[in-house]
Amino acid sequence: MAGVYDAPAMSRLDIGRSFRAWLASISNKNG
Amino acid sequence: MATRQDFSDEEWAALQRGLTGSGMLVSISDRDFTDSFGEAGALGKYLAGQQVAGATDFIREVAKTRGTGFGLTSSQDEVRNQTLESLRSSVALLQAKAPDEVEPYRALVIGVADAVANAKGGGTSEIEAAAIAQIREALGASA
Repeated sequence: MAGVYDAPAMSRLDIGRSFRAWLASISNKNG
Repeated sequence: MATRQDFSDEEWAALQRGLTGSGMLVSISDRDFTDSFGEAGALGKYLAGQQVAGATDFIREVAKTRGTGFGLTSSQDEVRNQTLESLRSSVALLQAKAPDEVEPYRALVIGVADAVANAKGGGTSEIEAAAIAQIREALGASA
């Protein structure tokens, strides 16, 4: 059953990191 | 019942890009980057929840996104245009292939937009509300 819960946790990490990296990149462009 | 196998890679990417892009669109709408951690966290948390508690099997699958679906070099305009275009094409696609999933998909997308808009506290700003109105329009949803 562990996999059922591991997958969302991994996805949450990936998207949060990916989104923050993109925000940082456009923030730098604007700055 | 629609599943991942009913869609091409390109179609599936558009379904997920419309979803993640909607959260990003709301986040960048007011150009306030001071709480990017909170908003990125809200986006991830909402999608993680929908992977388990989504309305249908299809919705739970669509919510299993990896990354944002956009490149790091995408401009804000590119994210906005590609998100709205993905939403329009995805709704048309679902109407043709899986009409029962149109409303759950709309609800999922609007849900992620609301989750990001509320992430800062203090409710939804006027600018964020305008971004959500654009998303609703692209989805063909009533205001």
